[in-house]
Amino acid sequence: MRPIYFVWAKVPPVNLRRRLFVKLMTSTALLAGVPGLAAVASRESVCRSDSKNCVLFRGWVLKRDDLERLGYGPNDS
Amino acid sequence: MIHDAEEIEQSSVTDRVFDVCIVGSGPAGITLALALAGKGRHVGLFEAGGLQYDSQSQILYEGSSVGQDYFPLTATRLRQFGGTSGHWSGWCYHLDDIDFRPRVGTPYGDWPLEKSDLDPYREATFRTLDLEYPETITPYLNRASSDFESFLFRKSLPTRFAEKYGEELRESRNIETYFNANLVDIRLHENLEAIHHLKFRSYDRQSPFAVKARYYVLCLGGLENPRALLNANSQISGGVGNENDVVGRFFCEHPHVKVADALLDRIPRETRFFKPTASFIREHDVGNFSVQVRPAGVSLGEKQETGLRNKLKSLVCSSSLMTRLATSLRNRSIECVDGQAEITLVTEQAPNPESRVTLGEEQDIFGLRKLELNWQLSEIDFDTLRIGTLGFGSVMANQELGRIKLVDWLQDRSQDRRVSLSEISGGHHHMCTTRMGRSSNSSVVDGSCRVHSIDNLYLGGSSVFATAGWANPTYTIVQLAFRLSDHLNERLRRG
Repeated sequence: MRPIYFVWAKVPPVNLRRRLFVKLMTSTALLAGVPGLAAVASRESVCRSDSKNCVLFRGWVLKRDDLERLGYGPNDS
Repeated sequence: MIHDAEEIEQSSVTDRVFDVCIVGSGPAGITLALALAGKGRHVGLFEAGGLQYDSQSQILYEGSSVGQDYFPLTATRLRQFGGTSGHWSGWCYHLDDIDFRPRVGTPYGDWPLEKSDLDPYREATFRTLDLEYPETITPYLNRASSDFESFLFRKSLPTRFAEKYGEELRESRNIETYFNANLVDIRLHENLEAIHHLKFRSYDRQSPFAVKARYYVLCLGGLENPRALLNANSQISGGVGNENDVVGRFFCEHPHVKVADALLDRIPRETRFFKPTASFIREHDVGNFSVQVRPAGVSLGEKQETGLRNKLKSLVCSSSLMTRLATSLRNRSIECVDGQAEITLVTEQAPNPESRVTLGEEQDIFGLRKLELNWQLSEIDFDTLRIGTLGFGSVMANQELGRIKLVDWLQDRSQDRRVSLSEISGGHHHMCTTRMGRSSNSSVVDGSCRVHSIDNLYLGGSSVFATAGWANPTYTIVQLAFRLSDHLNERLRRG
C-alpha cells in the first residue's frame, strides 16, 4: 500500500482526503489489473451489531457507502 | 534480614518453624511476604537466584519449546531477587468482569471468584505498583459504541521489586529472606495430605536443608510453579497436586498480533487502547481482547529496534523544516506518512488442556528435570483475532474515524493456520498452568489458591489464573497476593 500512503501524505485537508479515499481505492484496483467487480477478490459481510453496513473489500473494512461511491451495487459480488 | 543461603548456619533455618514459607521473590512473593509481616506473621522468603542477575542461576531456566514458536525460556523471565519485575515493562490493567464469567471459551470451568472479590485490593495494588489516580481519558470514538470502548492503560514506573522493597525486607523483623536457596523437593506427611517440609539447596553446598512452616506458598511463576510440583514426585509418582494430570496443562499466553494497517482521519498523538464490550464478546463467542491503535512513530517500547527507527522518522516528519533538512542531507525525499497507524490485538487465549508444560528428559544441576513447553493455540483464538479485527474496523468506518486494511493472512479464513503462526508472538506472560477452579478434575487450586489435595500448600502468581483475559498479569498477581495474605492470616488466627 505504499503508493496510497505516499499520495495520502500529499493531501493535507481532511475533507479532501475523505473524498480522495474512494478514488484511491479505485485506482488501486485498476493498478492491480482488476477490470471490474466480478474480479474483485474478497467480499465478505462483516456486519456487526452497531455496524450493519460494512464489507471486507480487498482486505479493507469499508462502509457500503464507500463501495457505492466506487460504483458498485449492494448486490454485486 | 536478608541472608545468603551459602553462608548461613543451616541450623538457624532448620530449627525454626515459620508461620508461612514463601518460595520465590517476584511480585507475588514479595507482596505476600510484606502483607503477612504487616499483620505480625513470621515469614521465611526463599529466592533461588542471587541479589543481582547471575548466569549460574539464570541458566537453570533452560528448557525446550516444542509448540508454537516461543521466546527462549532463559530470556522470558528472571531468576533473581525481585524476580521478573527486574525487566517488567510496567503495563497494568485489571481483569474485566466478563473474564470471571462462564463463556463459550471456558468449557473447563471458570473462576471460582468474581471481579468484586479482587476489587477491595485495588488501592493496595496501586500503591505497590506505583500507579496513579485519577482516571482521565480523552474520548477517541465519536460516539458511544455498543461494541467497543476506550480505556486507560496504566503504566507502572515500572516498579522493580528488588529495588523498591529490598530495604524494607532487610529491615523487617518478621521476614527472613534467603537468596541462593533453590527448592529441590517438597516432602509430604505420610498421609500425603500436607507438606512436612521443603528441601532447599544452595549452589555450593551439597547437603540440602529443610524448612518447616505452618503454610507454604510457591510463587515461582507460571512456568516454574508446575515444574516444581511435577518434579516433587518422590512420594507421589505424578507430582504433588497432580492426581488428575492437570498440573502444567492450560498454559496460556497473550497472543500479540499486528492485524491491520489504518488510514485515520484523526491521528492520535499516542497509542490509543480499546476493548470490546461484554455484549460483543458474548454475541460473537470470542475471547476477550484489547485493540491498540499505534500511530506511526510511536513505540510501546517492546520493539526497540523498530521503535528507534520510527522515532527518528517521527522527529524528521515533525516539522517541514526538519523534513527539508533531512531531505537535503539524504539528497532524496523523505516519505512522511500521514494517517498511517498499526492496529494490534492482544487477545485472551482460550483454556486448552493440550497447551501445556511438562518435564523433559534433561536434568539440571540439582537433578530436577527441565521443563518442556508446548504452547498451542485453538480455533477460537483465531476467531477472536479475525472477528475482533473486523468488528473494530467496522466501528472505525462507521464513525468515520478511518479505514483499516487487514494483514494478508487474516483476510482469508481458510488459509493454512501454520502460515499465521509466525505472525503471532506472546507477551512473556505465563498463565493458567496450575489454574484455579471448583473441581480438581480441571484445576489445581481452589478459590483461596490452595492446592486441592494438600491442606497447607498454596500457589501464588499467574499460574493460578483460571482464564487469562487480555490484561497484563502483574496487576492481578498483586491483587491475588493481597487476597491470599488475608486468607492465610485468618487461617493462622484460627489456629
